[in-house]
Amino acid sequence: MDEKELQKLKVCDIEDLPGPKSKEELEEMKMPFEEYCRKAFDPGNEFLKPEALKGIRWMSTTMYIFTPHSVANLAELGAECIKVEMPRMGDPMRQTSPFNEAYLYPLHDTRPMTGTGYGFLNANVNEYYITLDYHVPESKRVFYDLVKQSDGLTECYRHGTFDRWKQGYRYLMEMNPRFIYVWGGGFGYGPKMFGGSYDILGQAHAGLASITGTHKDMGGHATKCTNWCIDWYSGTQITCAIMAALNYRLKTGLGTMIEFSQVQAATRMCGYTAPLYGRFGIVRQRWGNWDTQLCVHGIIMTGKSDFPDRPNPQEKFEARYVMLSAFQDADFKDLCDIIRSRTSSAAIRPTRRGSAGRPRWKSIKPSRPGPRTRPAPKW
Amino acid sequence: MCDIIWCKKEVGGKVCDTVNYLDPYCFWNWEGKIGCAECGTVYYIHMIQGHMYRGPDEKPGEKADILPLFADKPNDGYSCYLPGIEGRTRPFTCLPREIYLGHADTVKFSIRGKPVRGWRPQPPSAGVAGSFGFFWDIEKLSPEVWAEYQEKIKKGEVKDW
Amino acid sequence: MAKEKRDIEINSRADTLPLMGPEVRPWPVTPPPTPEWVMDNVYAKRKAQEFGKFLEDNLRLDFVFDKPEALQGLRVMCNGIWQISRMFAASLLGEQGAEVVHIEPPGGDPLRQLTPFGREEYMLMDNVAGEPCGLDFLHEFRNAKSITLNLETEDGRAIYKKMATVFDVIIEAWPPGYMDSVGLGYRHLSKLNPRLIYCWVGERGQWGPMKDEVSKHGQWILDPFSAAADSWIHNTGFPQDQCPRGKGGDPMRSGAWLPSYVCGEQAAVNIQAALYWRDGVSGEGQFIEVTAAEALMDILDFDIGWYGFNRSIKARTGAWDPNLNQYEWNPCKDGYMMIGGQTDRLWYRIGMCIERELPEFGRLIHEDPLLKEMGARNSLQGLIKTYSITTKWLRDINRIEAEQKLMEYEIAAGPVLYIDEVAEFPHFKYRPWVNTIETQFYGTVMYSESCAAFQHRTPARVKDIGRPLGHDNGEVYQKFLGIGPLKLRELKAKGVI
Repeated sequence: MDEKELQKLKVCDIEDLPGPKSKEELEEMKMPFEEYCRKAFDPGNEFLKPEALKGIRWMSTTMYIFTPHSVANLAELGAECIKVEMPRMGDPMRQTSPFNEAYLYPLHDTRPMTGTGYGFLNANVNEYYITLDYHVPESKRVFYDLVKQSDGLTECYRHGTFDRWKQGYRYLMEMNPRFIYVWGGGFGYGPKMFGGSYDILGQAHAGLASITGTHKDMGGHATKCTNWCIDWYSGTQITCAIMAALNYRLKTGLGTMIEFSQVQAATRMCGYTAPLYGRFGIVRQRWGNWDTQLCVHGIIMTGKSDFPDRPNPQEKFEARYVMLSAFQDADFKDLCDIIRSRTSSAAIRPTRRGSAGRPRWKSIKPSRPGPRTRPAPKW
Repeated sequence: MCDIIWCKKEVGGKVCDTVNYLDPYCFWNWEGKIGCAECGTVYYIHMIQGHMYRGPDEKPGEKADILPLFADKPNDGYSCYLPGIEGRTRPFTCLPREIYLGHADTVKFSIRGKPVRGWRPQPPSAGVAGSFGFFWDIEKLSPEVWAEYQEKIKKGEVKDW
Repeated sequence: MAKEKRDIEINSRADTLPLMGPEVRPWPVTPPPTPEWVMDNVYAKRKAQEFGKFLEDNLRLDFVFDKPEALQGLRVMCNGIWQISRMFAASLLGEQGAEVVHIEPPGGDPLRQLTPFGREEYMLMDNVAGEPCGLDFLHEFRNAKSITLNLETEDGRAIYKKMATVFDVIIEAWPPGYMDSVGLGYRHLSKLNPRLIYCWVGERGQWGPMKDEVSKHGQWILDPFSAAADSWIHNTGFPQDQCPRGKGGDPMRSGAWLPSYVCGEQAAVNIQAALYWRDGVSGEGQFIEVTAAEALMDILDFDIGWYGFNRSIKARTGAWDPNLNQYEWNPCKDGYMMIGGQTDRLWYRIGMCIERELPEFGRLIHEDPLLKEMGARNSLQGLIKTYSITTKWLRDINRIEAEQKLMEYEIAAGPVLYIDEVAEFPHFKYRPWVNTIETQFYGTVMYSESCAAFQHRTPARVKDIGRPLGHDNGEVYQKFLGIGPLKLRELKAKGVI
């Protein structure tokens, strides 16, 4: 048997099999954890590693941030993504720039003096950009051909628009049963089905705004969480649903339709807000930089900026807030000691009153008898 | 009038005719004296829940507590005072950098000194809705930027942070 | 709803507790619209009856239990304390059908004890042992089982090792290197189970100069440290122009534990991608690390690019958005009203709606040549001008009036709602998004519905919420390790579980 034949018999490489195969790999077990992490994640060499979603092709008939981000997440994981925009108009995000200030990539005739706004950056990474006007009859065939060759699509048009144009799930599922169809928008079927949506609408409508910011009794207003967070956050939630659907399809070969409402996603992150209201009728308010459940655990202003000499006002005036966290007894006591040593007054003492609001770990006595229906199991 | 003060004061035989905008969050509940950006006339206002409870009443000879953030003259070619003009408008205190131009800023070089495609005009070959994809041949398309870039490299102004 | 009058004397908060709760004040207070009403009044108006019927027939929440689960058969072990991000990641997988087991130390996760302002009366007692449980923990403990295990004991570590061989996914949230130092890190477990997907979640990372740390007394760093580390808090909040510093004009954390939720969902995405790669391609598991700080940086809009462009550092702009006009909420008669519409089409529709009642809007806004172009409207002065006049319109009307008026013009507009209003908003209770569930241990609990629940084939679902600490020790240890009741009693006596 010659070398060639021997090679033919091989079905895998010893390197691919689990278990240590060398002294080095044995060493790996002894390596300090940080070093191991650096080696395992190997920053800077991402391109030497395989992509999880290689081979998936996804269409992105989307605009703004929310739905594009759901696709960009797939693209970052290695899927081949195709962004479809209206000819000559493009995604409105291209004309969105902070204070109309920063423009890149001079682009088209409606804004000849400027270019692509910074708002577009980041939401559509690793993608192919094509234009297609669905109003033109000839585009239909192109669209259907793409659907036949793709694994899924995310769209953000007003609900029912794609259906009216005969390119909704009802039509596409019959052309490609493996197709995963995602509609992302504000509300979904129901009384407000045709209501449009934005990040900020999600924050407002879903209750997130009512718990963010300083209370009006303290002079504040309901504050928008920055950076279109609900757009991005719910975009990732769509990706999460897509990933589950892809894993299901791996087993069954069947696609699905996902109807995703970003307003709902904003309510989902409000934690105890809903159960507290449901059981006790308490409407959660905004508490500024306090954490309602941990004390001390919040953001406080210091007397000076870190960079008083920098020209940029953000560094000069705003680099003066710290996140302070000392909610466990020992840490709280240390904090009090530090404050006391810096101030002549000894008024601050780590009394029980001072640490009110911090949870008690050990023995909690119910303030009223619990509904004890059966005795606790004893192992 | 409320939420704006449209100043009709006659100064030097001419009507001031300037709209001073009272931005909603600052003035929603507010009492004090505000100066007109154009003529400096001081008005007393007391605003509750966005409604003018009292005012605007002229307070000649008194000093203004606050200036508007922005004012313009719609009947005079929309000339305006941007935020932060001394003696006219108050500065907007949360600006992203010290030089706030107030108009679109397209730069040739990033803060690392690398060319970015932000300058104008574009060459005619860019066409309508043209896009040069991922390959931007600066040398051919914008020789003057390319030359400037070479200068920067020579001076050592191009860096990777 | 109260049908008879009662005389009630309230001397303390304790007296008010029996006056609340789902038995006394059921949800929803008013019934949601019926499907027939929606058909006639919503779908029909846009001639979308057929499509509406298709959606109702195929996506309604009532049908979720007739459909398969996407991640059925996936076993997920969630190990750690404090971090709500690990629980959210586990919830997302659990809602899709994965079998989730939460491992807590015998003393329980301290999150169980967290309750707003330390008020124990707002914790729920389970009907087994009468132990109180905080609502945040409860709300995120979905479709899961609870076991206890003491990783500080040799036996406990041996048990954990055995568990790792039969699970597909481990979500871990202990301080950096802890699990590794006790010989239970990825490098150890992957030798036993090469198909294992191991995901660590935390605030800033388990390695590197700013990695997660605990204080010298053992206190963890928790949400929102991650948001403090990447300018997220820096650019949330009102500028001191609009609110004085110290009175709301400061950088602001999100009221919700937003960074943790963003971290948790990224973890769930990456776990499922790793799963796809394992089952579809390679058969191998992998090591994943998701930090809240990096998950936030990924969604930091263009802030990093903008700094590179011209040294701009994004500043806070309150309830306005520096990138779009209109796109904000402003005060109105009874709260705040959000209005959005950027493209010319929407911009002029908003304008028409306001101008109808406030002609000044047309004079000052529509006629201004500087506001006629989409991009140019985003300038700071454009925002000041537009929102001053818009608020002049809003100050005379309530949120609901504003919404109805704007809806006539099909504008994306919505009021800033509080949770009681959210729970009663017709659309929300119609689907429903805020829902109630009769839990096994904690009575009727109101919760936010899973966002992936509206699907044709494999909707996510919530089956149960909350679990007393270690309730499933018997079942889980029996099922996965064959440890029977006698042996379990022995382990408990030794402090292992």
